Amino acid sequence: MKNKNNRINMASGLRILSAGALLVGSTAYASGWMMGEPGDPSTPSLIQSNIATQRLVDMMMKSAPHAAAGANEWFQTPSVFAEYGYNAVEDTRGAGFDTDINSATVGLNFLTKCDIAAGVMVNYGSTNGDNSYDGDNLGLTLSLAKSYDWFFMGFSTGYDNSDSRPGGGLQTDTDCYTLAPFIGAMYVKGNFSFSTAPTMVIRWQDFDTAGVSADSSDATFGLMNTASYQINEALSVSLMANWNCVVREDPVATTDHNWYSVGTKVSYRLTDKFTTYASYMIDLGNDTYDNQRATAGLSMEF
Amino acid sequence: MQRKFRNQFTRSKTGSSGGFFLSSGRLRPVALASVSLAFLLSGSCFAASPQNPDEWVFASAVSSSYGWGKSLRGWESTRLAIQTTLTAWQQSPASQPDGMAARDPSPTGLKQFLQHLPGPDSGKIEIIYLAAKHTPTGAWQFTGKDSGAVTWNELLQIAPSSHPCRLVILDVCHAAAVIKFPVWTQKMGAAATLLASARDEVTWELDFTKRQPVDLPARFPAAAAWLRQHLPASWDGRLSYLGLIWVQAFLQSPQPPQTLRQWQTFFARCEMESRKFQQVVGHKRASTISQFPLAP
Repeated sequence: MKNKNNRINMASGLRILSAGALLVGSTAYASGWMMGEPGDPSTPSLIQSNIATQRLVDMMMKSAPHAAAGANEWFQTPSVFAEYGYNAVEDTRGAGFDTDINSATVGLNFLTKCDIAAGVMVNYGSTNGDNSYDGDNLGLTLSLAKSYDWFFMGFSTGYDNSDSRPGGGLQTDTDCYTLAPFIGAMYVKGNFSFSTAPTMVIRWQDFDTAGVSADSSDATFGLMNTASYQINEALSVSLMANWNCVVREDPVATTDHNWYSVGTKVSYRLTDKFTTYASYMIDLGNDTYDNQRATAGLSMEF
Repeated sequence: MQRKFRNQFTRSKTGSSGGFFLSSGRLRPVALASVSLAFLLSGSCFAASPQNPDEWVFASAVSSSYGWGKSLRGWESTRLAIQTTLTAWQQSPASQPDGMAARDPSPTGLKQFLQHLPGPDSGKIEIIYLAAKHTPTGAWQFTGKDSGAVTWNELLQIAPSSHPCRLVILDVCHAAAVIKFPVWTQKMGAAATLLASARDEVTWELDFTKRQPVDLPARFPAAAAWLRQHLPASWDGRLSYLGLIWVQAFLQSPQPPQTLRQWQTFFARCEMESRKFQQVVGHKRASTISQFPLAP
């Protein structure tokens, strides 16, 4: 959960509430009490949606047919994972401030009836920023996807609750609901695989601070592209290139609405069951935020 | 239907030769008692009259095109691989052991396939390859509009013609579940059955074009080379786990099995190759291959 939404943006002309007082002339996302600014690439709900989608796509591409039918079709090839993530975010706006986000995600993926891929994830994040800002969040994400040969479709949905403490005794509680439908195509040829997945992450947020409430909604379109290559039985590498675009927002934010994310991921299978991985991504072309994200994780297949 | 089955079974147990089965629209007499008798005597059948390797018949039934699930393309390749090994053993391509082949049969189609298996009159060793999605309760999952699972009790309600030299390869998940069906031993009448998995196991498709999770061409270079040489150029690299194990055992058996004991030995070699796979490669994508009844 990225509480970086607390960055002060003096440029917009929207109303703002602070500590129960209505202030005019700032953005609704400013002053640290409205969180999840559209266009913020480190927003937890956006990251969790992308993780859920990518894990399902990976699972569908790697799943091998077997000749089982019947009751055991409801829970096949389960795998669990634990992942640590670190975001370094710099708000390039004049009055913006920078944050570091440490997050942990644990999840379960499995195949169910009709080879539908399913997933559940829990995420906790802790944010620290300039001016003694801090915050934390806890979220749950559920996801389903189904492939038809090279084509796949699915969705993820999540709930995230966050508290942000921008200083001055203020505290904001935010409830964020996310729905992220996606479709896509995958191509597997021997040791090479490629997937592309257009995704729409739709969010509804409710903010509450000092007895004052507000809400917001926005939608961000993402095109997630991943190419992977199996070097040997244990080692595989992936290249990711995503494009993101905020297509709807209420209230309007002053952030950059288009940016790219590129990165790489290395996976190494330790044993039959355990695989470790690490990834690095950096955002490009975002005039508002400079964001880098590194992850390291361990997954286990039963 | 169940009562009908019980009636037929009763006849067989009492040794009546008056059992009649519907086959190809005609009533064909079959001595049910000979099924169990032939089973008991099957060893002597093989041993007393070693079959000429040219005297084989190969029949297969494979359900692979599951619309909502992944297709079992690897099992189609395994069917072809096993048939090709039999041909290679024969060293006589002109007389390929090409028998009946049922693809994506309906429940009725599979019943007819089983009923029409060649009887002992053919004088040939009969090798039957059966592959499909299979439930832990021992039911064949059908494809297409007839999709649904049908147990062996119902599939073998009308018994195949008895054959003292029948060998069955059951390449399905939960294959050992058939052991609990008395009808399997009483009516299928197989002298030996090679099972692709334990009762609680699934059996996987392998892919020779990928390095993960197992780099099969590197681990099994001889099998990979043989498959690429002998399967059609259009082969996509997929094979069932049992298919790989079968080819591995075949490559170490230059002489074709002829007697029942030799076939049991070959099946035991498959068991050994499977254990070796699990020891060397790991349990991922592996299953427990076994034979039934147990070799003496």
